[in-house]
Order: sequence, then structure tokens, then C-alpha cells
Amino acid sequence: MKKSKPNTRAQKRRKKFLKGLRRFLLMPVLTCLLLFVVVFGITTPFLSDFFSIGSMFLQDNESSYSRTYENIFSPSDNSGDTVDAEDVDYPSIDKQFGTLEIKNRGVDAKLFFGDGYVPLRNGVGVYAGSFIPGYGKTILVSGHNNTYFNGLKNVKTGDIVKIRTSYGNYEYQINKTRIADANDKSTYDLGANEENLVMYTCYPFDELGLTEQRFFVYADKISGPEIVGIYE
Amino acid sequence: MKKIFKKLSIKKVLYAILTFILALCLVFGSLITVLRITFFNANFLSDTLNSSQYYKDLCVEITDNLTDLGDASGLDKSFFEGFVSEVLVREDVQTYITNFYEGKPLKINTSKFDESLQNALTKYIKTHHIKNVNEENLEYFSAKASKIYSNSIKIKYFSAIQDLIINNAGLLTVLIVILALISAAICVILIATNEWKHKALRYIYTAISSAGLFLLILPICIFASGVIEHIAILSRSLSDMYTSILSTVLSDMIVISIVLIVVAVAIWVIHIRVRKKSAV
Amino acid sequence: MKKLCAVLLAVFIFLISCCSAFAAGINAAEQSVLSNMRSPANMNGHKIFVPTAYINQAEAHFNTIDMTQQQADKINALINAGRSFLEGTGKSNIKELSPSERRTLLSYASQAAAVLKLTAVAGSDETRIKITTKDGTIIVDESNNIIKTTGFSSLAVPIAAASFIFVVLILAAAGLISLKKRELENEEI
Repeated sequence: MKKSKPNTRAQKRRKKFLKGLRRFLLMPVLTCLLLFVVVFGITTPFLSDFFSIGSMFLQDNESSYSRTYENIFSPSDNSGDTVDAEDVDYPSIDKQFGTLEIKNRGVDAKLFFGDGYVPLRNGVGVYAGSFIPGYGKTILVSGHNNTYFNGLKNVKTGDIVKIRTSYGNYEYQINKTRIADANDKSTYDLGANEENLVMYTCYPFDELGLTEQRFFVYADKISGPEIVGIYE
Repeated sequence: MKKIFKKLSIKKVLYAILTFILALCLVFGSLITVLRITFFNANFLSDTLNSSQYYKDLCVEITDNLTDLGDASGLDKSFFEGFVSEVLVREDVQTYITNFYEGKPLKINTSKFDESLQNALTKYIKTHHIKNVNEENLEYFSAKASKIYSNSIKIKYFSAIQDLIINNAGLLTVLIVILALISAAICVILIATNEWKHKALRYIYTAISSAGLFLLILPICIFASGVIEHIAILSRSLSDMYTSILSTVLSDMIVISIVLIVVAVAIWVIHIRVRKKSAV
Repeated sequence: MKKLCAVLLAVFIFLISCCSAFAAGINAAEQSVLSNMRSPANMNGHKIFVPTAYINQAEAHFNTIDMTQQQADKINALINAGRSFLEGTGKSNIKELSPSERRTLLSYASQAAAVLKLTAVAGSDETRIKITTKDGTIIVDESNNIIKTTGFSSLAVPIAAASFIFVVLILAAAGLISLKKRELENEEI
């Protein structure tokens, strides 16, 4: 059935109105969509790398500039021979996971994983490129010489270093101290396959100013659970 | 009949293409204008920093970093309390911005900071009766403190784009002019070659309104996605600065889009009147 | 450059690791990745190794995740591809890489970062870089000095130049190398 032409004035007005609306709204919207297609089509080859790289700098949450840190340490009774790797909550950077103490030498600090600003403001830190107690490898710990590691100036060979973690309690016996340049790579061995504790701080102690020298304290493990089952 | 039909269609297609090109010119012209008045404008950056928390946060960060350095150097934590002057920081940052936009080297003059530090150290040594002072180590400390200060004053990642800004500021202005001329030319062509002037105005309306919509939708989508708040920047002051800049840029785009839409609506009204006149 | 490369190696290791958190332990898949990292690369006659510190960081992180063999295969493929790419450039030093070569590495990084949902946090201090998961857990917070000024990075530890080159192999995907390097170089006034 053929559609009849609008013959009333109202119908004609309505038809005119719809035509006007189409031109007023629809055409700009369609043109806008086309603009999006063309603009992104033109710019994508140039900006795709930028967007891809830029996405690496996006996170799910807004940045937090809080100075607080997470403490995953809870005292343990385990001074035995072994602890299963499955029972070890391996710490991530800036988390307190233990305590470090050298009795009668004035060293008693929270032990963090990582040695950036947060750990060293609040305690002493294990360099993230070294390992945690019980792992059977090098543990490289740093601390400020005028705060938590000021007591290192008092240590002697034979002193016992006690490290407490949530998965075990460890003791290390100091066997050597050494003063060396910060750039001296012979002061530590991150590839060692025997558990050894290296603590260091700036040297000299109680002196004003920045120094290129460091005071290193070396200790061997004498007790504490070995983490077993690390490697399948 | 077929020829007339063909002629009409080709004309319409050509007008459609011209309309689209006009819309493109308006979009790119507006985007380049926004860039020109923001990133390529020294006053914009200064105003943005002044209206944000940048200086306050920067002073806090400088103090924190100096305190960490002090911890490693045998100084009390309180040594740097209130040490960093916001007035000096503002002055040095403004100088940095001015040098940036003038293409000058971006070296920070830390002489005032160094002098304050030396005075504070001398006073500290005297007050605390410190005898164990190694001048060489103290100089090393002062040099490091100075480096912290100057690195903090420098706006990160800006030096990487200085050449880009300096070399292309003029180009942007030229581009804006060219795009404006092209837009004007297209408008003239549309009006001059179209028998029905109201139709020409309709084409121009379509171009301007679609450009306005584009410039409105894009920043709204970016704002709605929340991407600006989720950029991972280590420094609070830097984060404040970049989010303020990006927010202002997007807001400017919205303002331009509103202007375009208002102009488009005005043209539409004129188009209606012209059409009624030609109908009479 | 050195600092950047050193950090980026660690970053890449984390970039290519999976995201689910598990108890400590290195499974066979993770061991295969660590072994691959320990293998030297031959860049124009120079044998280069990944710095021990960064293999250790990779191992530390692997202790907190449980990588599948499929993921390890992907990671090893990326390491091998990066190694081959660098060896194919005929260059003996990462500094000699052309901008397009750096972009190639950067594109690897982008893919890896997208897959692994990691975030590179732009630092205010050019000697520092931080990598986190998307929810903010820090994986790398590196100032690139192993022996610090007990809290403040000052002296650069002169890690053997050769080792940095190998970092690039693995951090091809990180691509941050190229980006950050330009910023670092431009920052030195």
C-alpha cells in the first residue's frame, strides 16, 4: 500500500520538524564519529608506541604517598633445623619482616626487605639483590651509622647477631670487620652459595659529612632453620 | 535528467568532503591552539604551579631527601626542619621555567641555597660543639645536598622536550594561521558556489558542530576514565603538577568545544532565517 | 645508563613473571628462566652476563609467585628473542643502539608490561626507579647502587659494562631502558 503524502498542516509541520532535527543533530553526530575514525586513524601510527609505553605508567589505584610501611613480622619459636619454603612468606620491598639485634652493642632495629628510604628511616634493610635469612646465600644489610647501625662501631669478633623473623630465629657470629670503599666489590659476594651475613654502614662513625668509606661486618650462620624445598 | 541527477550528486559529495575537511581543520586547529596556549606557554606553567600544591609538596620532598642525606651524614633529623624556604624554591623554579621557554641552559643557581646550608652547618657545629669534622666529607655532603636541591627544582622530563618546545612554538602559530585560512576559504567556497545560501550555512554548521562535539567528547572520555589520577609518579609534587596540567588542557578543550557549539547554533539560527527569506 | 640498565634487568624479570602470589619456592619453570638468565650473550665478540644482583632479585620475586611452564616458555622466548635481536645488531654496547633499535626493545617492554600488568613509577630522582604491580606492591625499588650511602644513593657502583648489555636483552620488553636513558642523558646539564 502506497504511503500517502501528509496533507494536514500538522503532519507537514511534523515532517519538517523531523527533517530539521535530522540536519541539526544527526549530521553533526555522524560527522563527529567520522572525525574520530579519521583522527585516530591518522594519529595511531605515530602515537601507538606512546600509548603502549604510557600504559606502563598507569596503575589501578591512585598514588599513595604514605610514609607508613607494612609489618609482616610476628615472633616465631622456630629455632630448629629447617622450615619449609611453603611456610615462608617471602617479603616484598619496604616491608618489615623481622628484627636484628646485637646485644650489648647498641644495635636493635626493625629488619626490612629492601634498603631504600622507607627501610632506612625506620630500621635496617636487606638489599633486595641479596637474600633472606635461612636461604643459604648472602644477606646484605645496610643501616645509617648515626641511627640504627651506630652500634656497629662497638662490635667485636665473636659477637652474636640475632635475627628474628616470622618463620624462624637466626644467630650469626661475627668473624670479621673491614673498612673499605663503597665501590669495592670485593666486600660482598652476592653469588655465594653459603649463608653469610654482611652488615655495613658509613664510616667513620659520629663524624659529620658524607664519606665514601663503609664499615663492613661479616658474620657466619651458627643457628636457625634452613629454608628447605625452595627448588623443585 | 540523469545528467542533472549526476551533477547534483557530485556537488553534494564535494560539499560533504569540504564540510568534513572544514571540520578536520577546526579540530586540528583547536587542538594545536590548546597546545600553543598550554604546553608552549610559559605563563600557563607558572600559573598552573601557583594554583596547585606544587611548591608546598616540593618543599616537603626536598626536606625529606635532605633529611635522609643528613641521616647518612651524622646530622640530627631536626637539622633540616624549616630549612627549605618556599620563597627561594618558587624563585628558582620560576627562573627554571623562564630559562626553559627562552631556550637557555637549564642550570640551577644554587648559590643562595649553598650559602644557607653553610651558615646552618657552621651554626650546628658550634651549637653542638662538634669536634669530629672532616672538611672534605662535609664538602661532599654540601655538594650532594646542593645536587638534591637543584635536581628537585628541575621539572623532571622537561629538559627532554625543551628543544621540541623551542623549535616548534613558531611552527604551531603558523599552523594555526594556515588552518584558519583554509577554514575561511572553505567557508567562502561553500557560500559562493552554493546557489542556496542557507544550505551553505547548514554545511558550515555541520562542520563546526561536529568539531565542537569531538572536542567535547574526547576530554570527557579522558576525565571519565580516571586515567589522569592513575598515572604512577613517584613524587607527589610532580604528580600534582602533571595532573593539573593535563586537567587544564582538557578543560581548555571543553571550553573551545562550547564556543564552537555556540557559534554553530548561531549559524543554525541564521540558516533558518535565510531559508525562510529565500522561501519568500 | 648503567643504573638504568641494571634496574631494568630486575624490572624485566618481574615484568615477565606471572602475577599470582604463592609461598616461597622456585619451581622447574622458574628455574629454567633463571638458568636462561645466567647464560651469557655474545655481543660482537663480548661475552656478557646478567649481574648477579639482578638474577637474585628475580629469584627473590619468583619466591612470591608460581610460574607455569607456559609462562616460563613465553618468558624464555622473550629473553631469547631479545638476545638474538641484540646480537643481530652487530653492536658491542647498548649505547650504540640506534633510536629505532631502542624502539624495538621498547615495544617488547610494552607488550610484556601489558601482559603482566605492571606499572613503572616515574621517579623524581633520575637515579631511582620503582616498579609495582597495578595495585601498588613494590617489586623493584632500585637506586642502582648496591652499596648505598646507607639510605641515599650517591656513588654509582661501576658494574662491568658488559653486564649492562645483557640487561637489555631481558629488558627489551621493559623498553623503559630507551625512554629513561633519553631522560637521564637530557637531565645531565
